[in-house]
Formats: sequence, structure tokens, C-alpha cells
Amino acid sequence: MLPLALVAGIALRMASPVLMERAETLDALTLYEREAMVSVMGELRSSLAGYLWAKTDEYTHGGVLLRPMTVREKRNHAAREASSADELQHHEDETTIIPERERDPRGVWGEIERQVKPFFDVRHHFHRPVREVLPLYRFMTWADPTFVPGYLVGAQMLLFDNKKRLPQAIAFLKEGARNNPRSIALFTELGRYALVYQRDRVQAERYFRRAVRNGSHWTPRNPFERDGLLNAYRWLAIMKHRMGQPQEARVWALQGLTRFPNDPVLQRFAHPAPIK
Amino acid sequence: MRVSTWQVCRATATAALLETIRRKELYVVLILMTLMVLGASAFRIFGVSGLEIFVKDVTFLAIGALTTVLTVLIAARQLPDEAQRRTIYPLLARPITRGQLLLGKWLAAFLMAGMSFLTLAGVAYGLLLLLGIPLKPIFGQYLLLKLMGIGWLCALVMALSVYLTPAANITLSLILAFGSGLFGRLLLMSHWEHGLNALWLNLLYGVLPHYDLFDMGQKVVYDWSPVPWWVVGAMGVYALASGALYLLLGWLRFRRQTLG
Repeated sequence: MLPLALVAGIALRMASPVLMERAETLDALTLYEREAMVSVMGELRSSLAGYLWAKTDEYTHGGVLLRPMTVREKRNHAAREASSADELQHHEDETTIIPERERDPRGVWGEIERQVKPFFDVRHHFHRPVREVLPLYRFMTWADPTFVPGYLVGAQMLLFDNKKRLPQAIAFLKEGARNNPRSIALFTELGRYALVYQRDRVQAERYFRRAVRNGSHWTPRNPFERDGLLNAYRWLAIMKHRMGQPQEARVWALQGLTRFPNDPVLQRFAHPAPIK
Repeated sequence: MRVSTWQVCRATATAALLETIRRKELYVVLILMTLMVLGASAFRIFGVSGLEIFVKDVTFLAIGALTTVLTVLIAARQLPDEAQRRTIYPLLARPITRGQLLLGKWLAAFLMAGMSFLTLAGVAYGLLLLLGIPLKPIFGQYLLLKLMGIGWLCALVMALSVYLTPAANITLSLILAFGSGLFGRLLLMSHWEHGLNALWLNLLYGVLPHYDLFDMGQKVVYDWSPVPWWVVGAMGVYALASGALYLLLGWLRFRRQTLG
């Protein structure tokens, strides 16, 4: 066991510096194609992080599995749509994998399945305490420090559990930013925290500008990073507008529109309606 | 002079218990499971405390998967091994019927797999307690239901073993055991999305194996309350009826099968 642990430790150590480059290139494929050792260790780490990411949803629902509703189900409102009663998680067009009694044609079989597997009515449901899933975010980012969504949602969860945990949430995001210096979403989120929770406009602007700079030469396909870039432009425009600098707000909005031409928020700041 | 079924079962059961101790599979599985549970709990040492659900999840995943594989392997080799070693001839030369032999072998497989499962569950329970993770009373129902499932799976695999080669039997049995939940989902989706008639759905659903319904591991992981006893009773009836049918189908083939 000891030699095995030693080999694994050395392999992890060798792979770590290259693994950290994922956020630099944001292209996992180029990373994995380079070195066999990195490929193996990288896959292991990101697979573990991905597995834990998928598990967090199951954990918050006490093992009840949800699935996206099909087009037909959405159109006919045939299945019960999941909705959150505690605002911990937002559900959109989701329903349970095990059907509710009213739409289950299996009779007693369906009843047995609802009893032996975790099941509840997903309409207006509560979630398990956040403190039970918090370690998972710590664990997944520890396993794969380049797993940006883990930092973003983990910080939100920390704050949701207890508003007094703002310093920990910010520290968690800063750790993510340290590990992923080319990430856009992490800096946008840090800016949002500085603006909304700390009321520190100067610091917030610094973070938003950094996010924009990180995204200046490429448009991310990853939805987290893409939203991060869009939100950085939006926040900058909103902030300048509220500071009484409409020209500055317009500049940021126009700059943002070159990247996201159809965004209605940026369009509003770029072309403000004339005062009647 | 015929030997009673009880005597045959008792003899094969005793042989099965000795076989369980002699065989190395259980030890390997035990070591694997201990490594998995300790591996999952090791993360707590590195400072990620509060991962109780994760550790329980990994534990019950390991118990479920290892038990299923072990059960299939044990049941699949009962008859073919006897035929391959040619020990089936002296066995059948005794005053016992092929039906008695099949039933005795099923009981032997059930006892071996059941004991392996209880050992695995016992070790897991002990490990979890050591880690300060207690389990709720639903764990008792989990054990009971899983034992029923093991008996049912043994019957299915033994029946298949007289129709298929050992390799094909093991492959098909593992697909049926691990995929049983998926088949039900596919039927339900066909009903909702493609208008599969409810009558056909229930007929097909009744024929398909439901090994997944014997596993309450997820409810134990998330500390749910025990289920009503009628559910356990209904699953017991299903295990008995369905298992007996599988053994009957196996016997229909085995009684006329040319051995060797």
C-alpha cells in the first residue's frame, strides 16, 4: 500500500502544475493530449469532481432523483413540475424519475417503487440542510482545483447556510481565483460579492475589469464562463449608471454588445430611451 | 429408496458453508469493500469533515454492486462446475431426483451468497460505527429485502445456467440485475411518449426482472423512515412466486438434459 500511495503522490505532484493550466487554456482536450501521466491523473481528478457535482443534487434532495421534463410533458403539463420551497435551488422544467401515483400506470408496482426508493412530491419541496452538502464542494475543488463551478456554487451555498459566512465564501472564491487566474466567472463573482455584500465599489470594479480582461481574447463556450463575461459587462454598466456616469455606462454596454449583441440589458444602457 | 428433499438440502447446505470458507472470493470482496469504505472516509483525515452521506453512499454502493456480482458468480457455477468436475454423476447415482438436486443447489447458492452479503453488511456496519456514522432502523428492512433479492437472483441465475453456457449466463444475469431499473424506465417512457398501452406495459413489466426493487440502500443512506411492512411482504410474495417460476423453468429443462 505504501509504495502505491507514494507512486500516486508523486504522480499527482507531477501532474498538478499542468492540471492547473486548464483554466489558462480552458481547453481540457489540449491538456489531456499532452502527457500520458497527466491524462490519467487529470481524468481521475476531474471525474471525481464531476461525480461529486452530480451527487450534490441528489444529496440536497435526500436521494430523490430528478430528470428534465420531455417536450411533451412540458407542453401538456403532464408531469408534476419540481419547485423549491426554500429557494436553495432553482428548478426549471424538472420532474422526478419515479412518477407520482396519478400518472403511474403500474398500480401496485409503482406504489412499491415509491416506497423502496426515495420519493416525495416535488412540488414546492424543501431541501436537506445545506451544511450536509457543503463538504462536497470543498472536496470536489480539493480533488480538482480547476473545477470552477464548484467554487462558484460552493460560495453561494456557504452564504445561503449562514449570512455570517461571508468572509469564508469570499475566501473560497479567492482560492478559486488563485487556482484559476484566467477564469472569468470567478472574478465576476468576486466583483458581485464586493458590490452587493461589501458595498465596495472600487474593489468590485477592479474584479469586473479583471474578468473582462480575462475574456478579452476569446468567447467561452462553457456556460459558467460565458455568463461570467456577460455579467461582468452588465455589472460595469449598471455600476457606472448608478454612480451617475451614463457615458461610462454606455461605453461598457457598447463594448459588451460587441461580444453579446442580443443582450437586452446591455442594449438598454447602450441606447437609453430619450427622456420625454 | 428415495432420499427426502430436506436431507438433500441439508447436505448441499453444509457443503456450501464449507465451500464459502474454502473459496477466496469472499475474502477478496471483503478486502475490496473495506478499502472502499476506508478510502471514502480517508478524505475526512485530509480535513473535509461532514462527508457522512458520501461515505454511506459509497458503502452501500459497494455492498450492492459486490453482492450482486458475487451472487451471480456463485449461482452460475453451481451446476456447470459439478458437470465439469464430473461429480454430478456420483451425485445423481444416489437416490435423489434432479429436481431435488436443483433445489439443493439453489439453497446452497442462496446460503453462500446470503452469508457473504451479511458478512459484507456486518463489516460495513462496524466500519461506519467506527467512523461515528450510525445507521437508522431502516437498515434492518434493507437486510431483509436484500436477502429476498439474493434468493430471487439465485433462482434466476440457476435457471439460466441450464439453458446457457456459464459465460453467457453470467453476462446476461449481470445485465438483467444491473439493468432492471432501466427496463422499467424505458417502458414508462414508451407509455408516456409513444402511447404504449397500459395493459401491455403491465404485462411486460410483470415479465421483466425487478431486482432493483430489492435494494433500499439509498433510503438507508439518507436516513428515511422504515417502509410499511406490506411492502416487504409484497416483495416477499414476488420473490417466492417469481423465484419458484424460474426454478420450475430450470427444472423443466434440467430433468431431460443430457449431461456431459
